[in-house]
This record gives sequence, C-alpha cells and structure tokens, in this order.
Amino acid sequence: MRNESAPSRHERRQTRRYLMEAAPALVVALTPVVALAAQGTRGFPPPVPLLLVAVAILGALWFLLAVVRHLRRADEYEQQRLRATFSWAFGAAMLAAFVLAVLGLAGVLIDHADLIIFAVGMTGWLLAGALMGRR
Amino acid sequence: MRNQLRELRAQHGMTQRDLADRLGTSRQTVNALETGKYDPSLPLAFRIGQTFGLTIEEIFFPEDTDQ
Repeated sequence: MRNESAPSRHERRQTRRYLMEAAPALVVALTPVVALAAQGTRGFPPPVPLLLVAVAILGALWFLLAVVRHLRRADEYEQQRLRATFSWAFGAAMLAAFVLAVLGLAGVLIDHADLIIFAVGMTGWLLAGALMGRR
Repeated sequence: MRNQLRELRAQHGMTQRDLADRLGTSRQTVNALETGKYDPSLPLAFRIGQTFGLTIEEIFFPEDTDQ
C-alpha cells in the first residue's frame, strides 16, 4: 500500500544533502562554544581560546553556506516558506536586541545579552519552521 | 486562483507523492497547490500541464469562473 504522506524523491534527496552539510557544520560551530563555556578562557593556554573562536566562526560560516545551498535546492513553494521562517527569525532577533538595548539604556544590564539575542533568533527560526510545517 | 489538480491526479491514479516525483517538487508543494494555498509559477504550471497533457487554462482558472 502506498503511503500518501511519504516524502517525494525531491524531498528525500534535499533533506539528505542538507543534513550531510549542516550537521558537521553545527558540530564544528558548537563544539568550541561548549568547550569555552565549560572551561572559560582560563582553562586553556593562549592562543587556544582564540583558535577555538576561529573554529566556531568557520563552523558558523559553513552552516550558513549549508542553509543557502538548501534554499537554492528547494522548490519554489519551499523557498517561499523558508524565506518566511528567516523573516520570523530576523524579527525575533531584532526585537530581542531592541528590548535588551532599551533595558540597557534604563540601567538594567543583563548578562550574556548577545547570546540571548542569538538564542531568540534561532528559537524563532525553529518555531516558525515547525508552525509552517503544520500548515 | 482555483485548479483541478486534485481531480486530475485522482483520474490518473496518482498519489500526491507520485505527482511530486513527476514535477520534482515536495509533496507539501503539491498539497499547497491542490488546496489553493499556493499559486504556481509559470514554469511549474507548464510542467503540470505537460504531466497531464493539458494546457494551463484547462487546469487553472480564476476564482470567479464556473468550472
């Protein structure tokens, strides 16, 4: 019996390529972040912390490239949906940045504000993707 | 825009996945087309027409027409 809701060849190929490109990029980007967060700069002799930062940035660029390639491979409807998720992520990150900036002006300083903005943007992206997938 | 995609697909005994494979799209794209959530670009509309051996006008028509 054929499964009506099973993904098409196009989807399977696209998902496989995206995972093969994005997963290692995420590992390269996040491993140094976890190491730095766990050890702090005092846990590593110089210039190891800076090397870890460089590796994390390279991983993030690699991930960005994987996302752009995923967008290019997507069909026209998927591209529209992906662009909408990017818009929601951008909006969420900008809103978080604005809120934290205004709080800062009012004298309310929040630790790791930059990481909070990043987390809000990524969460917005994931939530938008999940919501669009359900439509 | 309205279309007869679901009816045509049923007439040809195809699942959404089958049609998506023929068109080189995702199944969600076929579903979005059938439910009127998404209007295809001209290249995709032509591919759909070629798949069923029909012209674009025989598959897609404005909301205010009786088909």
